[in-house]
Parts: sequence; structure tokens; C-alpha cells
Amino acid sequence: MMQQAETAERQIRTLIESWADAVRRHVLPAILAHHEQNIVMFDVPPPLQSRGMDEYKKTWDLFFKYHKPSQAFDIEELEITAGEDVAFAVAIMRCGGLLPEFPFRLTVGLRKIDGDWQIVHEHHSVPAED
Amino acid sequence: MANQTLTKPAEAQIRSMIDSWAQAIRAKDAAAVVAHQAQDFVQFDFAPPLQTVGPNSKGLQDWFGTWRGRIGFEITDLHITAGDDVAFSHALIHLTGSRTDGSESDVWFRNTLCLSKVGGVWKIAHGHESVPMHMDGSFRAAIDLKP
Repeated sequence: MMQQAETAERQIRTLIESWADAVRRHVLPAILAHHEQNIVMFDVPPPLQSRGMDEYKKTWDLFFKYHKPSQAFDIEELEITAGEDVAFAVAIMRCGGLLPEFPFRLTVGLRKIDGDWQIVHEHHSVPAED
Repeated sequence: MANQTLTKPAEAQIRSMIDSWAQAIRAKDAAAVVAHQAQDFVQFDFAPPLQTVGPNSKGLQDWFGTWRGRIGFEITDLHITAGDDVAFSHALIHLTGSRTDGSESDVWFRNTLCLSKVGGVWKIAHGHESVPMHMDGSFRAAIDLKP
């Protein structure tokens, strides 16, 4: 069981690192490669939520308007908790493109579907200032 | 198929745990809220700081103190994904009520909960609550959005 969890954590870490790398390079197919069709996204900009792959894609069209390739979309801290077929990841990220670079929080929910981990939920945010 | 039969009771357990957690928030009972949290609970809160680690009963109590009566805390669009001992949920929450400074709150925010089963009981290992931020250059919190 312990070994299984370690393997799962390694697989998920690799998946999230390659996703972040795809975001930095603006390669949309690679960004979407490990997402389930019914992904629910809570993004930094409005709306409150984006449901399904089409709406998820649109959040990246918007993102690419203020982020340029190779600017930061970096993982600063990443903790993964994996069960047999459900997992979550909790991260502190850093985003460039807006001045100044800002840190944000990221929570990712995953399911193992047909042997592969897929992202079914992402929550990106910054704390609300008064 | 074996997984499906296992998943259903877990979902029901989590739904009832979230109900009890929300009930504790409405009643401003910090001890009851914290009782649902794991020892190494990590919170990404609505307001700064970026993150807090460990149950924060004092912070909750201070926040509860800014509300006059019960807190309106209505959970909608709750989706739960549960394995045998790891799970997560996401929902939109409508927060309403009267504040001690005389203002009225009426805000929709996003909530994600990450859960682990500890000693046979589901505990909240991580909570993430937020509103979007306006990307019009103002970076104002978008507290006026409705689903």
C-alpha cells in the first residue's frame, strides 16, 4: 500500500510539473492532456467557475493575454496525497506576466481513470484584499 | 465495479460530515469546526495570509465575532469525489448575514475541501476558499459575482 501511494505521488508530481511546463510554453494540447472532460475550474479571474473542457480551455486563452511564454508559472511548494484511485495536490505557485510577479494558491483534485491519473478539479486563487 | 460499491458509502459519510461542518460555521462554534480538521490542516483562506498550517481556532473565533447573529452559509453545486481513504469536494457557497460594523454581507465564494480518512473518520486535511480577482488592472476582489 505504502509503495503504491509513493508511486502514485511520483506519477502525479510528474503530471503537475509537465502541466506547469506546458503552461509556461503556452502549448495548449499538453496543458489539456491529463484533464477529464468534466473538469471544474475555479480560476483567479472571473467567472466563479468554469465547467467542462471547453470552458477550461477558455481560461487559458484569457491567461495567454497577460502571460508571455517563458514567464513564471512555477511550483514553489507541492504536497500530494494519493489513495488508490483518488488524490489531491496542494501547491503554492508563482505567476509572471503581471507586474509584479505574484504568488497564488493551487489545489488540484485527481481521479485514476483506466489506469491514468486525470485532473477533475483545479482551484487557483489569490487572497482577497479589502 | 467493486470500487463503485465502496465509493457510495464514503460519499454519504463525507456529505454528512460537510453538513455538520457547515452547521458549526452557521452556529459560530469554532471548536466544532476545528474538530473536523486534521492535525496538519492547511488552509488557503478567503483573505490573507497566503496559507495557514494547523487548526486555527482563534482566527475562526475572531472572524465569528464580526457577525451579529447566525451566519448564512448555503452550499450549492457540491461535488464529491471519494476513494476509500482520500477524497475531495468542491462547491459554491453563499455567505450572508449582518456584521457587527453594521454592514450586510452577501458574497458567493468557491470552496474546495481535501479529505483523508484518519482512524476511520473523514477529516479535512486542506481547505481552499476564494473569490476571483478582477483582471482589469484594479486587482479588486470580485465579491459581486453570482452563479
